Amino acid sequence: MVFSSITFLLYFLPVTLILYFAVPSVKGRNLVLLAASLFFYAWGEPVYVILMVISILGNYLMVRLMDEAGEDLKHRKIHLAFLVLWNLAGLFFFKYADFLVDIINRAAGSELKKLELSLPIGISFYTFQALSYVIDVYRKKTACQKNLISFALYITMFPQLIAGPIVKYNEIAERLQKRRITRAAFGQGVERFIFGLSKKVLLANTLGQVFTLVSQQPASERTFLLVWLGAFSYTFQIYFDFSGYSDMAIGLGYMLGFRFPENFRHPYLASSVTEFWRRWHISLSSWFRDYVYIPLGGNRVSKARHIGNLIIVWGLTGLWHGASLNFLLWGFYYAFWLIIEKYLLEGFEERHRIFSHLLTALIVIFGWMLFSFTDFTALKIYAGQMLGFKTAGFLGKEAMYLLKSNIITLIIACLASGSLLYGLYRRVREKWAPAALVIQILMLVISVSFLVYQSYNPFLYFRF
Amino acid sequence: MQKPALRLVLAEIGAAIVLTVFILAVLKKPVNDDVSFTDLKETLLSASFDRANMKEGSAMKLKYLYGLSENDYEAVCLYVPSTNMDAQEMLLVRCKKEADTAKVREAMQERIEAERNTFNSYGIEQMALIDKAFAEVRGRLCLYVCDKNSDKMREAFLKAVQ
Repeated sequence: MVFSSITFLLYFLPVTLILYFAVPSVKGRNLVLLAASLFFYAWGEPVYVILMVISILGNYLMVRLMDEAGEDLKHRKIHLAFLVLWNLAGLFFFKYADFLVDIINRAAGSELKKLELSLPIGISFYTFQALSYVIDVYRKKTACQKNLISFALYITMFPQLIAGPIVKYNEIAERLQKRRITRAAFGQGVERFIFGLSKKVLLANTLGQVFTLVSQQPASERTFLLVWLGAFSYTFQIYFDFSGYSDMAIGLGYMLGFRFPENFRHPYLASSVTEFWRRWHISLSSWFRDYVYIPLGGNRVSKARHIGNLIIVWGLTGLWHGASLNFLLWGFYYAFWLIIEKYLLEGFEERHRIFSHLLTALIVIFGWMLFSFTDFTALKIYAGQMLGFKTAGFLGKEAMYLLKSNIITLIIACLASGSLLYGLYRRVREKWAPAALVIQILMLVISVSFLVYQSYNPFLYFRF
Repeated sequence: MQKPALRLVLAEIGAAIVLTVFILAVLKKPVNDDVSFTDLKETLLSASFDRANMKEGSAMKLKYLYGLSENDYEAVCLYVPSTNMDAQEMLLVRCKKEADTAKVREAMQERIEAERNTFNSYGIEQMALIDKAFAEVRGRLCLYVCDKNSDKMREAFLKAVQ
């Protein structure tokens, strides 16, 4: 089930909220939320919900026993290593086994049969959440959770279960025991949810159709303008798709009394690749920073080792996004630019602000093409055309038609990816609150109407 | 070994076994391809497949669109759009033996490609449907769906053959 679906909006969410608020105690609400989350997950994954339950019970029990053994426990590190491997085993098997078979087949010319299993939705997200709990308890950064329901809720909570943000245990541990929901916070949550839904349905879906059309156009017929229009559309699609989903998750969190970490801070305003990654998918970057990069030594090591650390972390970040070579390459691509920025372009950003913005935008846009095309031949042709090679001319009738049809959406997307539109909305809300309410209702109605009539409603991060 | 440490080791062994058993169970999950064809057809059609602009396809249509002969298969159900300006489609086939599914799957994949070539460059709505199209094979059963609710139909199919 996805948030931008009629089933979720008209049935699941209202019923869950009614049941949730009908129960007065936090314990009771945790139980309702856990049941709803398991139902939410089982809706699309009736079998894989068992895998999630195994993960919950296993982590709960083993971490508790590790905690009870305390300092007396010999070989604590070995037990931690087992827990990490046990968590990664499920992820690796379901997500990367076929990728490995593919690599072996290519390298050895063998014909090993692929497993062709469907990917359990959200497995990357909930495995990373479980790992953060395991490692933080081991490091004694957080206390072990004694209540199974609370722990299960941390892993399964439906707002962030299938597409994040990745919530570290210590970020919500307190609210699992005690939380208060004010009317203002609930309203804030509804507002955030509507904004997220609109970003996803009105902007991401619309621009997604443009990119689909452009990328499926025969390469020989694509003009320079057309390929750039496609690239811009995808750049905005992926941002509004994912940040929209994060907004919906954060909004739902507010409605239910939780505070999830921010996942995006206007990433397209970044003037360096380093800054871009401080603004894009923040919860994933901070996860890799805390649990991989810093334990490897971070930047407090020799230059060669630091470069090695960056390559490892970004290779893993790429692979986290998908079991495919293009994702691995995408990770290395960012490692390359981060190394260049760190060691060759220090201070450049301050001296050439506008140029730095443009350069970052270009790097990011080309990066998205690497992300989008799993077929390397198609990628090479498309990227080449973006550089002006082998295009069918400069403008082209189709490109002009697509541009004219989508110019308003593109302008809104440009404005909405910065802080201008939201700033305007906030000013309206401060001056005359009912107008803000009208805007919210309008956005909701338009989004739902689009959902009813639109057949194109993919969700890019769903597969991760 | 102290008691808590021993319990932890036992729990770790147990966790490893449970995970392994689950993985093996998923790998060996049996497929119920003997499910009643009529029931399966009804399940799929009721899973949000909008038949307003659809009609049942004949054996000739099956040959024309997929290159398959109806007599070669145990049961076939084909739905095609009323006009050739639409991409919505559904084909459900039960083969006589599992080895025949490769040919059907190939025909279905070729159909997706053919539809892509037909609607490429002008049919935005149709291309959106084709992007959602899938060919799924379970046991002797093969299903091709091109519909706005393809995901739901795939779910219904996989559930029905479990």
